[in-house]
Amino acid sequence: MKSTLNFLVFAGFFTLIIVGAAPKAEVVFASNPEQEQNIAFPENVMAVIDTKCMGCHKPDAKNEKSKAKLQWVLLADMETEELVAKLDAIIESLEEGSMPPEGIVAKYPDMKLTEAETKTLKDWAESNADRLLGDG
Amino acid sequence: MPTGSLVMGKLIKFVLLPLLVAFGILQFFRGEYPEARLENPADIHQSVEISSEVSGLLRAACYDCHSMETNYPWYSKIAPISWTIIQHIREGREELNFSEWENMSRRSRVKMLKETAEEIEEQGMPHPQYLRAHPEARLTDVQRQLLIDWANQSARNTVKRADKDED
Repeated sequence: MKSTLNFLVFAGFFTLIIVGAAPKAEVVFASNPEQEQNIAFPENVMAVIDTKCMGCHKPDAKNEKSKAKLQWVLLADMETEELVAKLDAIIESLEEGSMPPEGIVAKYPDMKLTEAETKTLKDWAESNADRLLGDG
Repeated sequence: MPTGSLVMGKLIKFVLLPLLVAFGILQFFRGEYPEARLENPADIHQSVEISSEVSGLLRAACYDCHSMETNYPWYSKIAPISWTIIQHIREGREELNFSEWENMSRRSRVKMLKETAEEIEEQGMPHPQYLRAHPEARLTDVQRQLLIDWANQSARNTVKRADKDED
């Protein structure tokens, strides 16, 4: 488990360097690596989250509202029901196309989620929610 | 005081009367009231354990906008206030409709319960405007905690049912 996490953290950094986006941002995806985690972030999912979501949904983001709604780094330590609820909210946002917000996309058109990226995140969120609910 | 009564007469004729007529005309445009009914086979009460105390609180503080069991007060029949009420009920049901519980995915039910607990905890709900018209829906700290505990426990139970199925 620990090596997977180490790998994920490494993969996160690697992606950041490759993409060249804000390399100073520190991505730590498990505040407590010793504990059994409820969810894992594959490399392709991390890549999308890092480039399109993390700016506003990280612990040191400026926007308090977006931080209150979702912080990716907190997911792994959540209780199952809390995590399922968050995943459902993420799926809803993806289905509505409400994230990243219109204002951000208008200002930075590159921030818009491509269809492939939306599918990557949605498949990941759905399969994990199903697994947690025992429907997988 | 002839000038005084003249002013008064003009005020009635050109201001109050037209206002009254406009108000009367408005009553033909009260808006379309969302359907209300008491028989709801998919209601959360049919499938989730709810104590009579919690059930009473749900009905008193939530159900007017978050179920099909809407009680329309007399003033809801008067435009333009009817517009606000209709809009609140529409939006409330769209956000969460306890009468459609069984028609939602289990995943959504978990989220609804967690968000219910969160909204009540942050005192975002019951809606402040609703509370002004319905002081009886004001929750005491104890009642608030009762609802939060119920919602959190029900979310846990909704997830746990899966563990049991799997075993």
